Amino acid sequence: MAANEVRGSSDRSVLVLTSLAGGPKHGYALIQDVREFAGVRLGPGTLYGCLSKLEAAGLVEALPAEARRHPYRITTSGLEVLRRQLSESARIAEIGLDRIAGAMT
Amino acid sequence: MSRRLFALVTALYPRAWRERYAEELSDLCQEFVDAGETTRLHLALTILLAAAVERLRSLRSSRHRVLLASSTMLVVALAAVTFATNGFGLLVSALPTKGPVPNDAIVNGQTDISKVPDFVAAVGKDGKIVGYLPKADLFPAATSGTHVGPQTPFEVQPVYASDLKTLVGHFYPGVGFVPLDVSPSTQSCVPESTVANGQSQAIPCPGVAQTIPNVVGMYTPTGVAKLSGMGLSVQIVTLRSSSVTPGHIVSILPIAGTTVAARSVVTVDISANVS
Repeated sequence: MAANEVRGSSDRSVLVLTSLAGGPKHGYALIQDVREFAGVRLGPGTLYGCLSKLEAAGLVEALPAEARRHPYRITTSGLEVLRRQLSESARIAEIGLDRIAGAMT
Repeated sequence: MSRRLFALVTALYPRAWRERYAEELSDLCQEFVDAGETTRLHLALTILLAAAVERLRSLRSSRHRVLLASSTMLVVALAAVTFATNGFGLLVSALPTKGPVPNDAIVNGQTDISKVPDFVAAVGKDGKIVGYLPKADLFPAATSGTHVGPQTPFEVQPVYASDLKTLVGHFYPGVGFVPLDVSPSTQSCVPESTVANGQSQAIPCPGVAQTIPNVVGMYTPTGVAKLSGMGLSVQIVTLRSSSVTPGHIVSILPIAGTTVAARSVVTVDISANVS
């Protein structure tokens, strides 16, 4: 799937990858982290929908369970896909902001 | 969420997905419910929806995808109707809310009770949440939406764990949170004082013993002032008495002469008019 599917699956996968780029996390910590940095509230079902896709694409991988918590971490491929996705978003944001500034002058 | 209900809700997921993720999802759901993040009903519906999405995704390569997709949506619709009609008894199981008192609940020193969660977070000396106090205990006289003044817990309050069921300790006036099996008299005491006749008087900490004075028969404001001045927390109960003049103290519990820990609660019965 790689980058195209990450983009196609809305921002949720990007949010999950961004959270995991900060270090491995289990589901609950991941949801809390996304809520803190993006203000987006992911439900358990949505989160595991994302994780299953990302794992199938090799962008994240599961780590050994700790008690009843199941941590995940981002892979090298995941980091690369995330970097490309965020760079493109930043490029588009820059163009958009420039145009807004032009329209307001 | 019970295992049976969870199995029912996740049955819609493709088998391979279930075998790989169902246990993890179950653990996360349990953690969510334990933390009071959501209701079981909301959780069940969102998982049902996510399962339907996952099922549809798995049908992309199927030759019978139209038929299967229709069947899937029918199952989802039926399940949603079952939930909406309280088929699993979930609508009445909404979890109580918990957390700190939101900033916008207090305006000009008045508290909007309707914005206070059912269980208010109790913060320990290190600034971390140590448990939760029932709103009903903190605001016993207030009803939802009532604005009341600044509230100080005058009595010892129970503090519950995150599951809102397990008692983990108590909140003592002037002391703060004290875990179970720990004596409040061993805890450091927050300095407090009262002002009487223009002079500030320190209120002793709970480790100090005090003798209840005899205030029976006194005019209520005078007797209560005497008790409050010692730092005792006074709880007033109104009685109808034919022998004690209205507005005067009928009895006190613990009785006068009893030795109690400083800052203890004293119940004062006062006389009201006999009609």
